[in-house]
Amino acid sequence: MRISPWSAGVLASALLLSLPLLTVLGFVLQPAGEVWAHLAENVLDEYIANSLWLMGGVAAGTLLLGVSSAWITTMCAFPGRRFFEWALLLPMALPAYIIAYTYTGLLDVAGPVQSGLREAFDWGFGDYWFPEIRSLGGAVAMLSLVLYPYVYLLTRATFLEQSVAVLEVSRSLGHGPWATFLRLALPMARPAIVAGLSLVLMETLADYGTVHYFGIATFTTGIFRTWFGLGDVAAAAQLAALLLAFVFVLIVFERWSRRRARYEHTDSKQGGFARYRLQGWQSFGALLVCALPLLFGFIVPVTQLGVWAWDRADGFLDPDFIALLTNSLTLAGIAAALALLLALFLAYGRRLRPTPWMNAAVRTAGMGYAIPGTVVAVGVMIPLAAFDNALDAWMEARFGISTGLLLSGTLVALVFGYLVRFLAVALNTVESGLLQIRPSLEQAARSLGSNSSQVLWRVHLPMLRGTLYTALLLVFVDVLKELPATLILRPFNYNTLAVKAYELASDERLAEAALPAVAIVLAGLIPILILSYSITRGRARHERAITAG
Amino acid sequence: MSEQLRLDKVSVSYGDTAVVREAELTLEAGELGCLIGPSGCGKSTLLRAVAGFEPIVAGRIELHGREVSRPGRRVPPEKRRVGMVFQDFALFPHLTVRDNIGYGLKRLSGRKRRQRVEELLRLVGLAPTAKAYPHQLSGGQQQRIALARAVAPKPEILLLDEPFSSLDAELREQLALDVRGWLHHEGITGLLVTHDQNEAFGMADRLGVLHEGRLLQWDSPYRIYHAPKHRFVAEFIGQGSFVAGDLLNGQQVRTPFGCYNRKNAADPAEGSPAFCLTEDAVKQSEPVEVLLRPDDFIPGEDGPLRGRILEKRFRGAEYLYTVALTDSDTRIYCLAPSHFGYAVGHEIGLTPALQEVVVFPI
Repeated sequence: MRISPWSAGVLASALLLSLPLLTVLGFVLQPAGEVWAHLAENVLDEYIANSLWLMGGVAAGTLLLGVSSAWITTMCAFPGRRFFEWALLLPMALPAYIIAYTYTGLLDVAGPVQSGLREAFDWGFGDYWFPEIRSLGGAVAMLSLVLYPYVYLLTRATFLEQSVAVLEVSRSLGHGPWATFLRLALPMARPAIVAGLSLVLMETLADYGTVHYFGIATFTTGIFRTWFGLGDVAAAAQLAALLLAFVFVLIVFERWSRRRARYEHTDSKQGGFARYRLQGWQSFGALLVCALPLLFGFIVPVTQLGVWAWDRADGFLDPDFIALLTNSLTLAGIAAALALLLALFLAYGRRLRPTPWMNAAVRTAGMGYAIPGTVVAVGVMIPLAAFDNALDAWMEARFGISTGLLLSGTLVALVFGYLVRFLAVALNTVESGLLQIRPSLEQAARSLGSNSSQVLWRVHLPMLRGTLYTALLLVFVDVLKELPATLILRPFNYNTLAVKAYELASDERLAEAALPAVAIVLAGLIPILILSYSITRGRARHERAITAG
Repeated sequence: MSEQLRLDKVSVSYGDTAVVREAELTLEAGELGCLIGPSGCGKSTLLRAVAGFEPIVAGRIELHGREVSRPGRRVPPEKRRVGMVFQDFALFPHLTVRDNIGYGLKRLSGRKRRQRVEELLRLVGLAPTAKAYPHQLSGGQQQRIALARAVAPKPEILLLDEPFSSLDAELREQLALDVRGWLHHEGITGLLVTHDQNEAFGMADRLGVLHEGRLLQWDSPYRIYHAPKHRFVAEFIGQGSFVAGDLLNGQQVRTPFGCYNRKNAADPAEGSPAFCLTEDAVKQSEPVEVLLRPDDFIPGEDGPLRGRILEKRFRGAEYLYTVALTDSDTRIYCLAPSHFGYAVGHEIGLTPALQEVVVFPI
């Protein structure tokens, strides 16, 4: 078989991008060392138990918040429904570690809530019981509050696609709203709910900031401790591989449910269906179900952050903060631009030659998103350090020059790590954009005398412009928020907003951490608002179609 | 006239599945050819092979005397100088009508390109829409623009893949006529794929019927209708019935309504009915079937044959009658102007008017 430059390039990039994953998996085959034996004996059970409890709790929490709010905003009419439809996505803008330390500031002994209670009831310290926020339960609450939008988003999309006829048949056969929901809508939406839940659990497994801040020993904190505290690379990589096993189960789960979703999709456009009109206490209940996640997932923490940031607003002009901002923006910009180029290259290559090899290569390149940042970091660090050491030794022996660390511990390693982890975001966006372009368009262009790169330039790129901006923005924001990979891979003393917010919070300087946190949240809001806008616009178009028809 | 397109035993496969087998056809410059067949017969695939989007596994394709495809080698679509019109129009949504038409004219200077675009806009009657975007146009207008865009670079051949199927019937007929006119005006050779017989009859100089990947016959529309070489062609095209007959010594065919002599190539009996053997070679003195078209019989009150009307279908200008012949259990079709309506059950006379008798083995 003749290999074209496109194919060769795509295969090579996929191989390079899967290097970290292969590295980590490779350590499974290595004999377990002393440290591993120590880990297995003393802490591994705790890591697994905590991770499972965390996953179970977050699954329950996000299901409760996400599914109920999705059903109510889709099927019921009550005051404020249109606002909640998009506002319920807002908590997605907050990284879990930021909401975690914000609530700590609010709820711990010295925080405004407990002080207020003490003052109001004239209690002293220790006179009363108050839930401890820095606990497993607290971590479950924090993660649930910011992750439920995944479930909400996917579930709501399925509810909207469900055949109205089916639901109306159920009503005509005498089932009320509750019975219809439990017996029809919910089972039909199950694949989408499972898909949303898998994403939530992947994020939960990947979380480092929250669990570390709350002092819960999980895989991610364990990897950090083994790597930096015990200095055992192999054991850290083996822990990472074990974490990957959990992730793979979730990936399989997600793929399987998505495939089922295709089969169970009832292909019927939603007609103008009658929403359940809620009255009195019913609409108050609906309002409550929608308002609570928004209140505690977004309004309360953002207000608190705003108050803290307001007190030190002059800090925004501080040269240190500006340096921080510049670092973050540059880094995110570079990573996003590279991810976009690479995504375009891979997606277009696959479209040109949809061979099994190309499909496998592109899919492999997009695996990183499911892999926790900690694991990516370990997988990037090990081969790059090995390369640096080998090069250094060779140069030393050959020319007597020490090259030191060329790649590891530099921005190259960091950007590479970001690419591995976030390429999928750009890739999925670009691929779905390309799918919208009918093949007949490029065939028309070909028959009019353009070769494949001219077609890309003259037809695809102009048509994809919006998609490309979206992809760029999504990677940009994800890089800005990423904490554990940055912590491990950053060059010495190189700080970003996420790292600084986390470090200040760890030092209990919560108010100071608010400045970088606010910057991250503001950036994170942009894609959420765009997503919300596209939801409202989609609905407006949909409703126009109904009135016109 | 020169030969513009030649397909020489062309075969196309998807993996192990043969989609087109040994298709052979030629088109003279300026002619319009049509490929017709049921869905899945390979007609679109054959068209895409000519365009260069599908590789061929056997045979060769020549465009204007230049070999463009053979197994293992194909000139890429952009180097073939073919124009293509797609079922879904495939207009570039981000370009204006003018830029869409000008897309393939990148070798022309700015002024010449503008001139050519204006010329085509006038030809298809859409000069006022030059600055519009495709989504602002109606389906019919979009199709005209798609055609103008394909024609603009003066391709060696224009390929049309079911170009009218997404338009409504009335618009389709008008546009088909227009397209024929424009191609003539531009002197462009065309190859059209369709599943609509009326469209094919209305437009084609040459017509090909495909079935299960085989191009069964490549001929004039008249001969495809009246002298089909395969039973599938006879059944697929137009209305027709089959009656039993006997072949005597390979020289004469006897039917319920008379005997016909074999057509003699050296001495074609002028005007007198004759029969021709189909390619599915007929053996000597055998029971055979004879194809009868509705226009092979003239109905009237009198006639050498008698029959009873079983069914009548209104066709606008005429009625299509199903008639059972008296004295035999043969059913035939015939046409009569709709001014003379006979009732179902009525007995009528029929006068055979067979120009050619097509005989198939049973």
